[in-house]
Amino acid sequence: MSTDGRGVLPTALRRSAALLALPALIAVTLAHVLARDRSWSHEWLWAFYQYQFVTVLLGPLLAGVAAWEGVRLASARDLIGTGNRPQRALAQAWLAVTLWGLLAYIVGLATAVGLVLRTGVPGAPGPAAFATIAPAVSLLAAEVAVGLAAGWWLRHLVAAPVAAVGCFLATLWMYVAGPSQLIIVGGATSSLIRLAPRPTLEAWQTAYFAACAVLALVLAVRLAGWGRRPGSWQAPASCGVVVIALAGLLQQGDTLLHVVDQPLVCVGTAPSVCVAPGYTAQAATARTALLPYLAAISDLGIAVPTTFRQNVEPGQRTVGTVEAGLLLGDGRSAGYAVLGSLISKACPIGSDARLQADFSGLSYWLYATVNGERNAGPDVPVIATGPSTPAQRAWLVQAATALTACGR
Amino acid sequence: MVADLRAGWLFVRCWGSRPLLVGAVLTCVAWWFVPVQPVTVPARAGVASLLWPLVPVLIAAPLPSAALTAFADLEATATRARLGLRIRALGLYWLLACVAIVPGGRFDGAIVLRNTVGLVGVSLLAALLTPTSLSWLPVTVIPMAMWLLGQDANRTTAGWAVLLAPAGSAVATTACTVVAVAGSVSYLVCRTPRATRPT
Repeated sequence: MSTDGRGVLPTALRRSAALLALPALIAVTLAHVLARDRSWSHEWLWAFYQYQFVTVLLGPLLAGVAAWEGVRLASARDLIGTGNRPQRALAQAWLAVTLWGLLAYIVGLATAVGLVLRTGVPGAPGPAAFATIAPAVSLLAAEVAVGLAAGWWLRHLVAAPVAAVGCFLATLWMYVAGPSQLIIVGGATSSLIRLAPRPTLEAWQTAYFAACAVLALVLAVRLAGWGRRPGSWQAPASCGVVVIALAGLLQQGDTLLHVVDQPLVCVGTAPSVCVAPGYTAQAATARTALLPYLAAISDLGIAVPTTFRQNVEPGQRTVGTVEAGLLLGDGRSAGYAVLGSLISKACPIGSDARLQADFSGLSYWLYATVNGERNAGPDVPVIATGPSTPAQRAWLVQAATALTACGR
Repeated sequence: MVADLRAGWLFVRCWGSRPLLVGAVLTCVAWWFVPVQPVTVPARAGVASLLWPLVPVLIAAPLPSAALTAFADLEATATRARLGLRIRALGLYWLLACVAIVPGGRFDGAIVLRNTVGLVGVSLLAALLTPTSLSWLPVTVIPMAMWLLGQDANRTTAGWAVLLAPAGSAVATTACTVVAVAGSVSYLVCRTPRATRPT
């Protein structure tokens, strides 16, 4: 008996439709990694978290493949029902599709890890990075189970595209309408410096998706009439677990990330540019880009920050912010980093026309001085565009002083 | 007259076209619910893309299963010529697709027609060229990938994302037309028998 049991899974793996679909599944994961913006390749956690977004494409495909498996099993439903453990047939098919999907997932993740290593990020991914895998994999497993149940129930070839399109639309719907914690297991559009996914939320997500997978399989068994014996407890128990997990997940709220301490590496002095270890190679470039802007502002007699850090919000006044453009040496980003360090985040610049005029004039003069750019818009005061005279200098000092004093 | 209607309904049933009818109805309904404005693409900063150009997926997705059924034993044992049967089936597919997109005229009719032509062509080709168990995959994966990856924050459409291209795009129109013609001709002339049940 045990020998038979050992032989079933390899057979299920070998005959699974997911094996045939494996090239397409791998292509999808590689497209997700290679065909999109790869800013994440400087941070381990961002790379892992961003990769988990692959569930949006891979999940519907796996649901479609699983639905096909469900249709195939349903065509032999009567035969399967005469066996000792008919439920095992569904479980084996689910496991086979999930394992092949997991293989495609691992190929894509390995590619993402390779790209991070290629950029020279020191160290290794931490526990927070590896923890992002659990919710994503359990979500994929749940989508496989739902697809399998759909195919088993519909018993028609059309179940495969129905499951795939349905899963995709449901995913989009939940992304737009929320609650976001019911579907978002990864994907960040900007750096995760000083941010990390919440471990408790990830644990509840994993539990919820796993419970949904079990419920879908149990319901599929009941659809076949195998689970309607007196005293059958699986379906009510599964429903109860799903409800408990859902309640726990909803109670967590829809804040997916929390603030964490992030060790930084500092390069140079006056200014000192402090970045996460993965960006050390770009810190010198950022510092070089900052120097002419800092010198120009200092010439006006205005104090400028001596430190620029990657893990602070703009508007701290005593410390500047390092954004992605600055790390690439972009002059415009460097100018904004310097100007942004002058203005407190408490300053109501958006509602004060005078301050806006000061900012427009100062920024125009700064870019014109450093880069020779002369594209004055209608909101730039005339004096800022004029020749370098004592009157212009006095106006610039007044503007910079007003901006630095704002919000104190 | 009644006999003719019964024969017509039998034709639809035997050629596995009931899912197509459901797909056509769903497509007609979807035009009234799909957002007119671009929908934010998840995990892509500032990127929003139109969803309505992809509605024809709903009529194209069930087509491979119906097209596969057309290769069943019925075809081999029919007294009519194979080509005649397939012309009828193909006519039915195109008729259903054209009817289903009529309400889509409230959007850009040229884009709706172009995408329908392209997606039906992809479905026909997939039914013939891909393994039976994966015939549904191209017509579902291609639109998803185009929607998720095909546009940037400036609303610039990548060359390969033909389903999201503007109405005047000669490349997109040509690509969709070529795929549709290739799919239709292949469907008419291909002799390869295929399984009707998943194997």
